[in-house]
Amino acid sequence: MMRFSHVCKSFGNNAVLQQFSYDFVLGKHCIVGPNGCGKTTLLMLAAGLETPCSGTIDFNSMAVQSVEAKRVIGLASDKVVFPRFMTASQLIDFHCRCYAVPWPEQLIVALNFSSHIGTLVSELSLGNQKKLSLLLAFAHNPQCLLLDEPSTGLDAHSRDYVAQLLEAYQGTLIISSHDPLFTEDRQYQQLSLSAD
Amino acid sequence: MHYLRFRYRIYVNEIKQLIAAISSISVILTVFFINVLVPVFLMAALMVVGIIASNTTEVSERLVYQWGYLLVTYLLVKIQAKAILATAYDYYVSSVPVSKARRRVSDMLLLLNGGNLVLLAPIGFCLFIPDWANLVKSGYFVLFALSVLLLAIVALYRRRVPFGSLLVLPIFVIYFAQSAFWANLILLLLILSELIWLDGFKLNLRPVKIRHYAQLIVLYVLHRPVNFILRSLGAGAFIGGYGYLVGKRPDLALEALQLVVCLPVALVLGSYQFEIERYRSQYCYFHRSLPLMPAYLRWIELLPLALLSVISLVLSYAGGFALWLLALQLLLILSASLGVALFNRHYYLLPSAITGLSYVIAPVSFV
Repeated sequence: MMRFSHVCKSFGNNAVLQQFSYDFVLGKHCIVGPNGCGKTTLLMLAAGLETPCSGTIDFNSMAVQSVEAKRVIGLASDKVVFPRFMTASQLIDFHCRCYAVPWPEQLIVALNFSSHIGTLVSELSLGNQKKLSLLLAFAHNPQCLLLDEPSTGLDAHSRDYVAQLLEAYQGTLIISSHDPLFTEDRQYQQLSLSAD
Repeated sequence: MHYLRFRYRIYVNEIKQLIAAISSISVILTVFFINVLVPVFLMAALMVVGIIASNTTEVSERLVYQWGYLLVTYLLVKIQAKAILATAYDYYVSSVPVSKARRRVSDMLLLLNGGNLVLLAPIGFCLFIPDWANLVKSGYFVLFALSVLLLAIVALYRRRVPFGSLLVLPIFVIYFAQSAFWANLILLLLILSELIWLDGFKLNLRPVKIRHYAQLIVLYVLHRPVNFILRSLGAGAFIGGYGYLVGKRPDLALEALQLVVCLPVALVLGSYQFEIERYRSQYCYFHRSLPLMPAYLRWIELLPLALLSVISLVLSYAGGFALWLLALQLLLILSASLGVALFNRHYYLLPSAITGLSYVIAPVSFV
């Protein structure tokens, strides 16, 4: 379970979250709300990539910023810029080594990514960067999956495949999206954030 | 409109924008730059060509002047390269139905216009060589004039910096050259090879498997090698300068000089941490997402600095630095890198304070 307790987060004078408390229990969750309401920030906080100004965030009683928590969390977000000087293959290889998992051949083939594996990250199209980010998020079979707009920029085939993967996913899934694929799916518990 | 005239108008427009950009920094600076520095600079270039051309100038002295001249030529052309090639209008200029030869001729004419006296003076001097006997005698100067032209072409067309001809070879030939002719011939051949292969040469790192964070950092360093190479050369220049000075004035206090050299060397090398800080900030979320201990990441990120330190210490040891000054140099490099993390722009404070303290604790005399 991902637990937010009295979390406040602001950037300069702009308060994004104020005394936010919520338990993301095992299952599927979809965060909805207008642009700028803090959906992505919430995911970055949940992944331990942003530090809350106050309050605590835990996943299964581990602080999300700890190395142990990072091992069981997967994140795909356009905010995470991958090293542009590495090829996709080098990045996946490094990722697999860090998480001690095998090369995700099946995922690579299913996402039609095989022909781009030797391409530099800086030379990948936006759609392929999205695929790479999803690949890395799924590669280590995380207990908690955080996906920021996972269907945006994907071709129809990859979108369907990702939908299938998410359908079968058994852990805690938190998605931020405007896509009806998730917002209108009853499996997803909706959390609505307001811009105020 | 004639093609050359069209290209010339683009060139003038680009140069005006360049000057406007400088003027936005400071009007006084611009007035000073345009009215004082440029004529002084051009006159100085002509004088230097005279010194280089003179048969009475010593070989080593001539090579130092040549080196400076080549650096100035490179910089002069490099800052105008985009204007000369009309890079901002690349697609449109390419779409104009003009032959490749005509494009090249336009490039060359604009290059001569942009290079001005700096580029034309050596060729002009060659035209004043009265006869064949003198031409053979002054063969080194003809080679030098060709090197200047060729380097200008490298500056115009090649994206990468020709470190070999601009930095490595000149340092080598100044120390070892006995004949100006052969030194210039080797330099000319090197520039020619840079013109042919410089941008084509590519270190293909794509098949390399990245398994450890240290490999990722090495890959980052190799991705932007200029910053690493320039710092190594900077440190080498300071230590080489020390060696040159000691060679000329053996009566100077060696340890005092070594102490003086240690600080700039440490500042140049320690500033490499700015590169690492830039990497951390550019990929901050990726960096934070790694399931690795932050202290481990920090240690690994010190690897490039450690390599730079080894290079500097080996050079210093070869230059005859005292052992305690080698240890001090290492301490200063580490404190400079720590200063980058703690004080950012004021990273020089900590190593400067340590250097000052070493003067007090281990007083060294300059006499």
